[in-house]
Amino acid sequence: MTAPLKPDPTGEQFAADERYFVDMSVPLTGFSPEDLYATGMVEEYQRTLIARIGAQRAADLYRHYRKKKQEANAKSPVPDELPWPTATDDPILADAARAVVKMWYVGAWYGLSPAAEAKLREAEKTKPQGVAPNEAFMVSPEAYLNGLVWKVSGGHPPGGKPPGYGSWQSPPVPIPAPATGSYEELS
Amino acid sequence: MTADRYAHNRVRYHAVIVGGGIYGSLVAKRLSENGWKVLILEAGTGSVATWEGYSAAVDDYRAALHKSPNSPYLPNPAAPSPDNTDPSGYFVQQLDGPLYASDYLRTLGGTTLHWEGVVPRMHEGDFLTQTRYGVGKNWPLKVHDKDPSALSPTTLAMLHKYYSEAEFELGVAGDAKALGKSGVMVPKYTYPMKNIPQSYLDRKIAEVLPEKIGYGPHGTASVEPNMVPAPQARNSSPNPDYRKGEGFRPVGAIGIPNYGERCQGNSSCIPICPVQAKYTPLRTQSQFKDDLVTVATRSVVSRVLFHDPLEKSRPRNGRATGVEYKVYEDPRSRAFTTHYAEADIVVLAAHAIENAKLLLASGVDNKHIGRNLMDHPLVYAKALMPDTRGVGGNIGPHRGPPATSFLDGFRDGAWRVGFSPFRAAVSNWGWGGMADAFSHEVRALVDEGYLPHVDEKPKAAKHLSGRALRRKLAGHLPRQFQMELLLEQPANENNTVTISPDFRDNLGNFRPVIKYAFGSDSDYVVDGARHAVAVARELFTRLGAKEYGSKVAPVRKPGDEAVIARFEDGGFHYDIVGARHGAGTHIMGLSADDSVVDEFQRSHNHPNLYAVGCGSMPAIGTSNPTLTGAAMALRSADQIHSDLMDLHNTLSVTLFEKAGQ
Ligand SMILES: Cc1cc2nc3c(=O)[nH]c(=O)nc-3n(C[C@H](O)[C@H](O)[C@H](O)COP(=O)(O)OP(=O)(O)OC[C@H]3O[C@@H](n4cnc5c(N)ncnc54)[C@H](O)[C@@H]3O)c2cc1C
Ligand code: SF4
Repeated sequence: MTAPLKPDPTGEQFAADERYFVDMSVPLTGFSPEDLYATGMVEEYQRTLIARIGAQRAADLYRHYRKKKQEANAKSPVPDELPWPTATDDPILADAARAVVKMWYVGAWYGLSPAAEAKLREAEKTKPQGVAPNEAFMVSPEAYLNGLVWKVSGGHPPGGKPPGYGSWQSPPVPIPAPATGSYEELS
Repeated sequence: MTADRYAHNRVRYHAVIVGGGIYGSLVAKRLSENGWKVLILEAGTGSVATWEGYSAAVDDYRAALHKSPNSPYLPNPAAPSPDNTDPSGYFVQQLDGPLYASDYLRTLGGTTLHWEGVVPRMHEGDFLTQTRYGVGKNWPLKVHDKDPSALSPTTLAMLHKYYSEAEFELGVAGDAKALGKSGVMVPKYTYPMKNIPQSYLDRKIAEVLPEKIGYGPHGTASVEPNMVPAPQARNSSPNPDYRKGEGFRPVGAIGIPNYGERCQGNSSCIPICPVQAKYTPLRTQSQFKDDLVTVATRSVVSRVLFHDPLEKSRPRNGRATGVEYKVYEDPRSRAFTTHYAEADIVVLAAHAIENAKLLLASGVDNKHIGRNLMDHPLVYAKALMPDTRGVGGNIGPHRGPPATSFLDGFRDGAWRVGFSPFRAAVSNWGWGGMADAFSHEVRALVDEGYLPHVDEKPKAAKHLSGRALRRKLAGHLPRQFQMELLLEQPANENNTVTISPDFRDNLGNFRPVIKYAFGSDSDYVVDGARHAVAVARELFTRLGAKEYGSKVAPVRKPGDEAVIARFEDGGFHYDIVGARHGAGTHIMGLSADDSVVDEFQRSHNHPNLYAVGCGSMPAIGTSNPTLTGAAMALRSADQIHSDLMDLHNTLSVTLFEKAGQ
């Protein structure tokens, strides 16, 4: 597993190695690879993304963020958000990137906008990658419980991870600020 | 067991109870404790009444995209339930006016499976609002010989007795001493469990609470606010002093009797407590004696019968003979079989709206049935803690039960002649209160780049991601809190539940046709709401917190909670929604001229027919109604016991007179 990530993975390569998905999720979420792995959701989210837009498009999204991350890391100070794929370049990727962010934070796949979805259906006609219908859904009960939003809310997911009897009397646990240096790159 | 057995073997019950919710379960338990044979007919399935089923519901809740109160529970087209976001899904009502959308749940266990579990007693004044304030209707209870605006000592003793018994059955945690200061009727008393600790947010508010708050028009009424621990039906630690040192033992979870968990702060009481620390009727049902209580699920009662369908020659004498009910196998199918259950006493405990529907469908000849539908109007005032207080303004929303404190002092007073009193709770669950609420902020920032109501809308759409998103959320979410302001709505005969042959569900049962508005009480409610919001604002100012809300009239989108009315105040638009405390649909009173049932919740028209629940209440003040309903259900059970003794003529007159008290 220690083989370096390819700058230009194929869809199969993206699907076979979850590090590609984690690597692009770092700048998308603002959390470290350790934080992301700790949710236990990496593989399920990676599968969800692939099922919704196709493996090759997911790999394209990785390529976009790899490039933007390298550009950002060369800057000082390092910017705290990276340029999205623009809607004019690729409306599907632009929407998919936002869906990935929401998935990490909330645990739900909210789908693509009608415009991007129409493009996706069109693209599927010529070069099909196999994609599921555009529906909003909670990825799984665990996804809900492990949403990153609960790490920045001061609380815990309602209906899970209870902090214990009477814990609500005490001040909440302080929320760590995001890192400011270079974005981690998985190699 | 198949329901056929009742018909073919002609098993006759002492009582048939319609509905396995809180009131039906309490009545069944008490009757069986007295040795009576009881049949509960439950419209819904029993799918959450096992450990496995309950756990599956917890998982379904976690997996739900929209975490509405009904989200953990499977939809059941054979016995549909209303939904707070879909006001005409089950109810039939005009969609262009005020909407009644207080949900309830039709499955074994009923609506309190997803209730909050806040259980205040009513104030004495709440029972006599007409005499004292010229508002709404009085309860038909004996008043003081010398002072008609006060309850008689025997009435007060009766209320205390049944409140205490209800608090025992529900395992209530509370602090009677603290509550006594807010004028609630709790004589020297110890709750079964110690009070649930007040939240960190409560303490922040208590720190800035003034001795007096000017309240009402131009602050003319001066009120001493009091932050009291809210009494709650959820497990804390048993009170060793309870019942003079007898102590209290909470009842365990279903399927796991020794699992009497304390509240762990899951913060999902609405819609489901994963550890069953919150009271649900499943607990009461676990104490049923199997040989005396039969529970038949998937049995939807369609009407009460006043004749014997199997023996047509039996005379009609005005007494209910039993009920007709429909049994289905598969909730998705329209197929059903019709049956008949016989009993000495028929008890409707199917929820205020369903009870009214059944009385109407049974042809009970009383013009007050289905009138006076009321609820508690609810308004939220939202604010953000300032950055400087606490841990960077972090008060940790979504920790602990939804409300651990009441801000009391505004629930009863002379102002009630002019505008609604209110009961304030400090809400520990951020804005919106629901578990999916924070998804709105995440989506707004990722999709639009700003927080509606908080930020200015940017000129060009922006999408936030990464560290910027994380920082923005961490600077906002942890500071969210809201005051929940619960108001009084007086009984009004124009608010109705009716039935029509044109509107039926899959099994051919009636759907409730609803007509509902504040109507002539609009000023009373809305003025009360304005004064309540003013009190919340005073606290916000003292906290250095900033209020947020909609600055433009909101437009209801599909999926939004249905709204009864809106008002504008101080530049903000407030929604008034229903607290899901449906009541008044078969009110109690002195005779059939003014009401449907008597003070024991017995039909004026048919002496062996009872309709129990919030539907019997002529006024609900500002108290969440279920504790009072539970107390009244226990009183009814004692009266039914007395009726049955009478019928079966087994005891001397003196004894059952006592029991009927
Ligand atoms: C989200 C929410 C939060 C709440 N929080 C609180 C709170 O904190 N404090 C409070 O005091 N109150 C609260 N309430 C209100 C409380 O839930 C109701 O007052 C209470 O459930 C009413 O009890 P009930 O037994 O009359 O009706 P239900 O609990 O609805 O039970 C009725 C039962 O009858 C069954 N039934 C219905 N029709 C038929 C039929 N035709 N045949 C056979 N069976 C039938 C149903 O399936 C159900 O099991 C809350 C309600 C909601 C929705
Ligand atoms: S706060 Fe949690 S543990 Fe406590 S009753 Fe509510 S859901 Fe159950």
